[in-house]
Amino acid sequence: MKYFRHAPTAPKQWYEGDRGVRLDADRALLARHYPSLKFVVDDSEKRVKIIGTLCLASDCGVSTPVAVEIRLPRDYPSSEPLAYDAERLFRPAPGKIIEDRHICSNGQFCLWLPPNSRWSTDDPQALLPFLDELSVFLDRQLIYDETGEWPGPHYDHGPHGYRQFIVEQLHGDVDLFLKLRPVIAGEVAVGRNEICLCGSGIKFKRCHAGAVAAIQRRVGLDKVKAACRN
Amino acid sequence: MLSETCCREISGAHIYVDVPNFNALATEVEGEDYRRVVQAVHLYQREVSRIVEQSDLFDALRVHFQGPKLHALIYRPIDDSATIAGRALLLQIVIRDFVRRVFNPEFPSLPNIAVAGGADIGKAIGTQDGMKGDRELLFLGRPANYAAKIIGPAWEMRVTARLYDALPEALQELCQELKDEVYVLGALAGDEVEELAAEFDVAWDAEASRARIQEDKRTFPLKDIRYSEAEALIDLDSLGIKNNKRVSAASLFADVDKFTAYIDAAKTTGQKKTALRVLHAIRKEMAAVVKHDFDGLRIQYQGDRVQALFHLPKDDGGKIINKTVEVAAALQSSMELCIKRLLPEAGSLGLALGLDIDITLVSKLGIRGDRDRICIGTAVQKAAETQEACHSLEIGTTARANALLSDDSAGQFTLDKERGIYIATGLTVEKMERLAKAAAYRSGSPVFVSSALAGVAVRPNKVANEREVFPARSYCA
Repeated sequence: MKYFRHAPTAPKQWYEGDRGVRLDADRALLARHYPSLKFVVDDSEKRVKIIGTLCLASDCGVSTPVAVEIRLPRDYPSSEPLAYDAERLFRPAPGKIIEDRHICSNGQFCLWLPPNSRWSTDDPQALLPFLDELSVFLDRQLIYDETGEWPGPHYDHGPHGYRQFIVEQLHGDVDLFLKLRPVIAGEVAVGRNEICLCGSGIKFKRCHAGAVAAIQRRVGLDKVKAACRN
Repeated sequence: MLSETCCREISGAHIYVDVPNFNALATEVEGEDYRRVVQAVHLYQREVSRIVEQSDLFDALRVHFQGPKLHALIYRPIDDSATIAGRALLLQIVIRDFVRRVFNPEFPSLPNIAVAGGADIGKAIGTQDGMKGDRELLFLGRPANYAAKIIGPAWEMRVTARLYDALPEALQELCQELKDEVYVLGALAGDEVEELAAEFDVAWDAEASRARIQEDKRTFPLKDIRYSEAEALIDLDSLGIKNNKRVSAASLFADVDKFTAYIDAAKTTGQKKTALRVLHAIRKEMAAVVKHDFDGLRIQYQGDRVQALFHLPKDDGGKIINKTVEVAAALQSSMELCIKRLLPEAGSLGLALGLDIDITLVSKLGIRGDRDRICIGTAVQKAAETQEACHSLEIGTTARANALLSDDSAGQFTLDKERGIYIATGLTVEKMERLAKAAAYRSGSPVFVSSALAGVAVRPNKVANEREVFPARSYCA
């Protein structure tokens, strides 16, 4: 029996796998809705990004240009794109840090808490709502420049933000979070037929087992542990 | 002939004489007495105009009335600064004498009015703006500006050290140094005034003045003086002594901060032309914003500042004052985002604005083509004072106006205890739009996104085919 050894080949990129159908569709979407942005395919690094300037217009006729770079991950569209402040236009307000305006130190825009991502892997037009969210995010940045405060509700930085999210999943009940914290963080194993730690006297499987599992699935155990530590 | 393109540097004395209590009368008096106030305002200004302009009196130039405040220029005899300075001081003396001995006794049912004046001498650039019957004389430069700034309390007539130094010795003896660079005129008896006037070939005769006032009262009797409120935008051209408006209105003053220093620093003809070109562009833009963008009344150019009035919707102080703040922000936007981009030479300038709201008398003085639009009231006076206390990029309001502002607008103003006014710095229309949107974001309502090659617009309200977005709750790792 003969065995043929194939030379190892690089895995296909997302835009190659479907013969470029998704890339073409996204290009058409950009041309129609965001013509100031364009796709750049770096064949050597097998990276795709969207670059350009979003001019945020006001009713009084004044436009504020913001240069953006949107990096599409290798597993796009299964994972969401990441948007960056290409020219580092936005600066920390006096006495504050750049994270206060939901921008990471590397210029990445934090549009949302990952468990709350608006990115829809199933939607072939997902790029459009993503860009609309990005526009709204930039619009809020301009308001932040005027007021020094983030307009509208937001999560705190880092683990505190995740903790806020977890408490929200428990209907805002901080006491309940404190009771369930060991089991959410995976520090204590509670059998499904044991009594729930919340104090209800009901079996865990009929009480908070589902909620705890959902939190761990959406947030990820590492983040959950960090959030529960604080 | 002066025009926008034909300007002259004129050496002369600039005199301002104000009647501050006309403002209080025009705001506080009501009913029948208001007609007396209106009649008094018009007749005072008719007689003062005659004193200034009549050839046997001062034969000077009445630049205009800024509300109740006279601005006059004495520039003849040319190159005789002693006589010019003397006649400038004498004009203040005569107007003070006229008010004391003639005007107040002729209007016994009104509280006595009081005058205060200031005068300076030197070169100023004269220009003229507007068209046909809407022409306005303007003088730019230190003497035209400083003379108004030294005006003090009631009955004080002040002159600058420059004018004092130019006075003949006999007139210098009538003045005392008040503070640095400012002298104040002492008291004079009525017969002394007439003798002094005669020495300077000014035929001042209080009895002749009284006769003219009495004749005016017969020509314009109280029953012919009318005033009314205004439901629609006031037609300024229709106003006159027999047709006046008494409205609840916001007054706005927009001043080109440091323009006097800017024009005084222009040494060559080319630099002066550039400075004037900048001023004409700024003034025209300010007038366009007031008249065309916001349906307001452009009352008057006063040197490097513009006076505007907003009185609609009728009796809705909240809406009027919020609109006036919008106008002020629009003027700041226009200056910072348009004029400075198109005219880089205006880069060092900025606007200082002041506003207030209250009952205001709106009218027009004089006859035919030689008429001054006037607004008189406490709000006019306070708006002007507020503007004078502001610097470049600032919008100032009084406590009265601030109390009527919407929460969003009021949030932009902070009380400056030292100046006693509320100040918003760098408030532009763009900023106001952003603040309105901030409120929408805070409420958790959706916003609406539209995008095209020209840019992206995010609005709090749906206008056409925008895409609805419920803003995500942001986070940072």
